[in-house]
Amino acid sequence: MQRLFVTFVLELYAIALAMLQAGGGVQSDEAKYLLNIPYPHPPAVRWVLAQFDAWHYQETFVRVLFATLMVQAVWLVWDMVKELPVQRRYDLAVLWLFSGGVILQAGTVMMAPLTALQALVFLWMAQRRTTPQTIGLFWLFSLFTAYQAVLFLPLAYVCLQRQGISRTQIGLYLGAPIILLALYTLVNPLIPASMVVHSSRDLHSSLPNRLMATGRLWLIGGSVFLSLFGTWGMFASRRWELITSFFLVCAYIALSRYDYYAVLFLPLFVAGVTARPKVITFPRMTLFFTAIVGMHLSVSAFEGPRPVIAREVIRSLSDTAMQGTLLVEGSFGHQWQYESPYPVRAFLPGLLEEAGAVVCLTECPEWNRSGWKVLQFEPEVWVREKWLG
Amino acid sequence: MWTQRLLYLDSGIRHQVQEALEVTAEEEGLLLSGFSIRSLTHAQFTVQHRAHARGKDALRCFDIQLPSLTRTTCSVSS
Repeated sequence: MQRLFVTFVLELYAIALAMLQAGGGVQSDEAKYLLNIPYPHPPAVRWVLAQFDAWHYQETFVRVLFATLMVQAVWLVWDMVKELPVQRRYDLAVLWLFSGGVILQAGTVMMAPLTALQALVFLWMAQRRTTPQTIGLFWLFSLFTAYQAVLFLPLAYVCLQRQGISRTQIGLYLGAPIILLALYTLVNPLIPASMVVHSSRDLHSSLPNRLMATGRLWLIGGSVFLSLFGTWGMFASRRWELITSFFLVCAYIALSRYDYYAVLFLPLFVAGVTARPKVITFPRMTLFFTAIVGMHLSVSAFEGPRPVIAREVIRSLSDTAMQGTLLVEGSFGHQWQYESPYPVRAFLPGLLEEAGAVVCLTECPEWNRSGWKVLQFEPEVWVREKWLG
Repeated sequence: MWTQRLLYLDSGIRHQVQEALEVTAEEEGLLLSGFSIRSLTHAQFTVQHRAHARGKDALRCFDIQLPSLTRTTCSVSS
């Protein structure tokens, strides 16, 4: 009964985190997964999500689902330290729930939190008897969820090693999915092309800048204290698989420079504390200050209404009788494809005949505007007069 | 993968295909992410575009000659 009550309270927390993220509308990266757009990641999860992309509540459902997975994963953390005194278990559970990784990423429709959860599952499986086939299948699923799963190859290795199988078998279970992933990548050249584009992003950024940015995300991922204790525990316990994955994640973040990768540190921090539980010093003060950091992150990340241009424009257009194509002048992301019930194309004079509305994200181009009327400014939206009634 | 082997084996073809897709996206008002290559030879390639949307996706097909980048529409495969 008590466990049920705690699960219920955790679920309320998960829903709250999901609703905080929903206020920002669907971001371009999130739309890629909701619509099964075939880059940058493999299809295991995005294909499933897209099976119900016509459902009005798809976004809300997926946010709550992902937030539930992140928050209820605390039960895995709880189980991983079952040999510790209850108070220590509570300490680690609270550190998880108030970590920056959970607060800032639970409820986002991104693959990074799922990869972090998959790493946590590998760490949990390594503590118990699991069949190598199960681990191998889960490794395959992880790789086909997101490429960054490869950062946790050391964890999958140790997970298999602890099942007592030979190195050859370990090599097969780990290598075969990687080969399949490579074949999938070759068949989808948009993916390696986007990797090349993203690898050249921020080339001007210096090494000190990259290190500072990585350090910042390291601190945020565990709301400072779990970051410190978890890293200390990793190195003090000399767990090579944790240290190796830690450096791989650091390198990945230093090169890619996306804030949402902070969550990738989280399972490693938990494992570091699990490996050396005594690293948590002054637990009551630690939890208090962790909660403060967590709340500060929430307030700074979610303060005030965030511009949701695509959603607001589509909402305005939905109040009219508009039909036809929506033309967009200026660079636009996949969130427009997600939010719009109308076909979306870049503005071209030749497409005006089939257009029902024009959105100008930059200065509006010139065209014959007789029969058109401005619906709103900022951004400027033009609609054919006949749809305005 | 056999269909797209030229993309990996021939840098000239790769650059031509890239340019052709970018020009097609710009001239048709489409997003690059919707393209997938159905066939590719040294002389031409066929590309399908899927305009991802909630519900049914709109499909388009283009035959593009190399290196002229002349473009014609083709029928969409099921």
